[in-house]
Amino acid sequence: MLNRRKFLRHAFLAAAGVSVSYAGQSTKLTPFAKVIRNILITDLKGLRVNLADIEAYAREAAKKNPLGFSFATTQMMELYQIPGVKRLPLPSNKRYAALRGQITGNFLLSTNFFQNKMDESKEIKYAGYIYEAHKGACANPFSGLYFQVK
Amino acid sequence: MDKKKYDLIIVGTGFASSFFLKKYLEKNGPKKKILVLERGRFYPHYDRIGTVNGNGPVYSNQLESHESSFINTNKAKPWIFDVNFGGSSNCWWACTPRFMPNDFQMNTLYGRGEDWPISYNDLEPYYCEAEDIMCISGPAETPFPRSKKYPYPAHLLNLIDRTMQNAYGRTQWISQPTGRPSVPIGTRSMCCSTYSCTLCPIDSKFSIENSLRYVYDDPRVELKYNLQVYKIEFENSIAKRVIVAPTLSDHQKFQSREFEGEIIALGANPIFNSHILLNSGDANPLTGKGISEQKGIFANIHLKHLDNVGGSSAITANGYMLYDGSFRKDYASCLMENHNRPTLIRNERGKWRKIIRFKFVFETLPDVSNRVKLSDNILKPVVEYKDKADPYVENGKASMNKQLQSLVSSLDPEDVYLDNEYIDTECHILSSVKMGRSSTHSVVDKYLIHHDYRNLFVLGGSSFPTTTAANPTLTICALSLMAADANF
Repeated sequence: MLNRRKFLRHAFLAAAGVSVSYAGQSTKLTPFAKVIRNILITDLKGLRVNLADIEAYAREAAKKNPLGFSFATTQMMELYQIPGVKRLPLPSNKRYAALRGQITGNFLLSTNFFQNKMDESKEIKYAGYIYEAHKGACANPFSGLYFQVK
Repeated sequence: MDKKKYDLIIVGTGFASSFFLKKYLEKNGPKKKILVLERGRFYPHYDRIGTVNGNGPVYSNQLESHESSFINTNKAKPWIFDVNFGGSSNCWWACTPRFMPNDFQMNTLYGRGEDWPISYNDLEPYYCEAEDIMCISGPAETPFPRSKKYPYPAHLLNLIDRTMQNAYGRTQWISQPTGRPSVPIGTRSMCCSTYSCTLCPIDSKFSIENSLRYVYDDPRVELKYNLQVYKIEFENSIAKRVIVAPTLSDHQKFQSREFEGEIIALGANPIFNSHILLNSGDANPLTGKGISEQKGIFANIHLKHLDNVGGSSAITANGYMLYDGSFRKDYASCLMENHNRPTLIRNERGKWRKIIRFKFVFETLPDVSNRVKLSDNILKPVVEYKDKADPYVENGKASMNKQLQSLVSSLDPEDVYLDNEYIDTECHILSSVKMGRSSTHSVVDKYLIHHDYRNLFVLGGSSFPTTTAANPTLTICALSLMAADANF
């Protein structure tokens, strides 16, 4: 049964246009993991992505910090989650946009999206581990290994 | 002093030293005795991988960092190198374009910088030899003349490169010649575009460790680690011996050692080649002067239709459209690179990979006010570099910026974004012991022998009289081969 909080979350996600299926298991997310989750939900709007996958990635990314964000950076990004802040003409807006792009890119690199040749009609599945060059060598999904250019 | 006298003492185990040693061994008999002194230790690839994955070797805390090995008066300007066995072959990106013939005649043709005391044709056979040793993958057609094909086939171009090649021709937009192999070679896998070449995860790129370590196993060669050469002693203008300190010594109390050699070859980088010479009392006023490197800047280009996909290496291509011409009288030459970076993703639905990142690398003219100096610490040089805006480079950048839209018009760009700042380093330390025809204008001759000490070679990028837009490593290796071939 959905409690009020879960109901409101589903209502928010539905309004955002994200097609989610909720796997039911969820441990609490840290504040920065929530930032990552919110960014991905917004930026992947309209794509077929499972919320459980987003949260699993968010949890792992907040812990491992694959993009090397400083504490100050994570704090700045958390500030942007306060309603209305994104609409303010702040000097950090451009940087925030770039950082959220990095998060979305890293998430997609950690899924099957690029292996599926960016086919937005296919379901996006998190690989279960974060894209890291030294642990996943030869995984550049845009290389000639995966994309044959005629 | 160690009593044993050597026929040859080499300082360092990087590109310059290793290629010189290889040729020396080929041309000399079994009785020769060679001592190689390496300031670092053997820090093998598998331990480096362990370190980045959080499982570093037990000796991690004994490794010297490059930053602590010298005093940098300009922290905004880093100088990057590797202090261990194999030198910067451990961290290079294995880009191996040749210089263009006109790069050697800058003063004659364009009235800028200086001419080299050698021509492209002098070096051409050694370029071929260095390319064979490094197993370079490269294209059939190049903007520079070649007497021989590349030993291995070119990497695949990506969709962007093919469009650029259609627009500019097969000699102006080329698959980058590279030591990142296009096919498996021996124990080295083919490059798979991980774009992490500073430490190749699969040990694919050429390195001294994976391809030339055998020259140090030659029975004629004795290799000693953890010894920093900081001085040469001369007698009657002959280099007699090198003085060394254990690496990471306290400069106020260390036990020095001496090794005597018939011939001495300095193969350290320009900072330490200069430092050793200055510590030794080299009176040439140009020693240590003019340390320099190229300037690089990136541009992101958003595309309307093309996806940036395909291509079989980390940097897929070089563009030569801005490289050479009479404009070099007024502004700097520029080499373009296409960076096949997997993390280059547009955060816009449907346009994820409709983005490219080109790098523009400009030649610079060495400035004698940028220099290597001695410090109070006999073991540490000072690098004094004033990163002032050079009109020659700035005009080159302005010209490139003006032409940028039209340069990429065949790609049907949506937007072009040139970075605000240059990259802080190209990781190429060059010049400071430059070569030339006389000691009035240079420190070493065309075979990298010191004008005043005729048994002393000063190898490597320190000898460059000018800094071209092309990556320097292949030329460093070819110069070492030529120097050893001509003298032994």
